[in-house]
Amino acid sequence: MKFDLLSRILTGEANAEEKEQFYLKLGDNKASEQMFYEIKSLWLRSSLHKNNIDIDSEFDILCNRIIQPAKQSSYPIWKRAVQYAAIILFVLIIGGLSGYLLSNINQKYADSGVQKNSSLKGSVSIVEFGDGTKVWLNSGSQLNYSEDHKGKKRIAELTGEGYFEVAHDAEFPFFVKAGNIMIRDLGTTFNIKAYPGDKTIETSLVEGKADIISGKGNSAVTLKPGDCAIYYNENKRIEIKPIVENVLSAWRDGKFVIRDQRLEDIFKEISRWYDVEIRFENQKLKDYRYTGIIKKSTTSQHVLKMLKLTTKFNYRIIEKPAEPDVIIVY
Amino acid sequence: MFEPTLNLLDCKRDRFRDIFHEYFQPLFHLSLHYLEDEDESKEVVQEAFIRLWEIRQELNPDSNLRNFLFTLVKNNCLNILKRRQILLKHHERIKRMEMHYQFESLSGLGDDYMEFKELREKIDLAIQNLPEHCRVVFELSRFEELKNREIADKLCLSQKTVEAHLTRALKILRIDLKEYLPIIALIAKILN
Repeated sequence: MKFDLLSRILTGEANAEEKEQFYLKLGDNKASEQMFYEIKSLWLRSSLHKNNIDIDSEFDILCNRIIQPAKQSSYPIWKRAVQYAAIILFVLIIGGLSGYLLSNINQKYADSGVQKNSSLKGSVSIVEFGDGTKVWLNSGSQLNYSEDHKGKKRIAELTGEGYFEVAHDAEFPFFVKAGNIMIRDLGTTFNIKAYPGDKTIETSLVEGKADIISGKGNSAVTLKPGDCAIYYNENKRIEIKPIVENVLSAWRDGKFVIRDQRLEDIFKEISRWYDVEIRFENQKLKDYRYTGIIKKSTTSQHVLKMLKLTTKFNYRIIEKPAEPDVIIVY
Repeated sequence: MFEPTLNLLDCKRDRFRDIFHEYFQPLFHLSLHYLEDEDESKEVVQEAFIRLWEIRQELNPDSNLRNFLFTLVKNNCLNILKRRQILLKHHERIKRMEMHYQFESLSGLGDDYMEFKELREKIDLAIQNLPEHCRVVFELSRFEELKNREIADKLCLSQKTVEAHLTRALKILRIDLKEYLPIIALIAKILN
C-alpha cells in the first residue's frame, strides 16, 4: 500500500488520479486491503469525541416526526419543532428502508433495425451506441434508435428525458425527435426533457452546437452552450433561457432539484420516479412553490412528509396491488 | 458497563430523550464518516430512533439498545452506499471504487464501535504516547480538521513532511491499538 497516499485518502485531499492509483493497487493485495480497513476504522474511531451537532433540536425534530400521525397534541416540543421545520427550505432526505429497486437497462434489438431502450420508473439507465454516443435515460423514458444508411442519418426518438453525449460525425448527423420538434446535433452534449403530458419540451445545450428544427424541416433556432430552449406545445413558440446547470446534472445523480417550482410540477416528477399517481383534491395547493433538493433514494411517502413540513396539506394513499398507488392530496 | 435495556424505556419520554442524547452523536459520527453528507446522516439516525420508538413495546426487555441502533444505522448506511453504487454503475469508475471500499469497510466494522467510551480512553492514551511531531500533526488533522496544507503552514513544515507524520502516526496507532481494531473478514469482490 502506498502510505503517502493513504493519509491524503483519509483526509479526503487526494485528487482523482491519486484515488484511482490508490484503489487500484489496493484491490491487488489482500493484506494491504485488510490494513486499509483497519486504519480507516482507526481513523473513524479516533475522532469520536468531536461534536458540533445540536442534539436538542435533533430531538425536537424526532419528536415532531413521532407525534405527527397522532394529530395535534399540546406537547410543547412539538410547537418548537414546527417552527424549526418551517424554516427548512433546503431539504435533504433519505429513507434507507425504501423498497424499490433500481433496474438495469432493458435493451432489445428489433428486426426493423430499430433499437429500443427504456428506463423503468424509478431508475436511470445508460445506453451506449456503437459509434460512441452515450445517452442517459431518466425514469420512465424511452428511446428508439435507428440508422438510416441511405439518407446518412442517425435518428433517435425520445419520449421522456434524456441526456445525450453525441459522437459527432459530419457525414452521419444525429437527429433526436421529441414530440413536435427535432434536434440536430452539430457536435454536442445536450439534455432533452419531453415527457408526454408536459406542456413544454426543454432542450438544454451543454456543449457544442445544436439546431432545433420545427415540424416543417426548417431550422428554427440554433442553440449556444448554456442555452435552454423551451418549446410550448400549445402555441408552438420557442423561448430561450439560460440553463440551470444544477438541475441538469441532478437527475443523473439521483436527485430532484426543485427551484421555485409549483407543487403540481414537483408531484409530476415524483410520480414519474416512484410510479405513483397523484391527485389534487384541493386545487389551490397546485400553485404552492418550493425550493430544495431531495435525494431520490427515499420513499415517496418520505418526500411527501418533508414537503408537508413546510406547508399545510394532507394526503392519503390508496394502495393498489396491480396498478400504481394513488396519493390524494388535500 | 451499563447496558441500556428497553424495560427502562417503556414509553417514558424522558428515558427516550436520555437514550437519544447518549447515542445520537456516535451514530451520527458513524454515518457521516461513511455517507459524507450531514443531512443524509442525520436522517439515517433519525430513522433509527423512529424505528426504535415504533417498536418500543414489542422489543424484548433485555434487548441491547446500543447494538440495535448501531445495526439499524449501519444497515441503512449500507443500503444508501449500495444504491449510490448502482446509480454510478456506468460512469465514474473512481467514485465507484471509492464507494466499494466505503461499503466494505463499513460492512466489516464490528458492533464494538459503540463501546466508544472505553475505546476512547485507549485511543487518547495511544495518541498521547505518539512522538511529539506526529501527535501534533495527528491532532490538528483529526480534531481541528485542518487540511494537510494548513497544517504545513501552521507548523512551517512542508506538506510532504506533514503527510509523513500523519502516516507515521497511523502506523504506530495501528500497532498500539491492534487488539481493539475490528477483525474484518474480507470477501473478495471483483469490481466490474
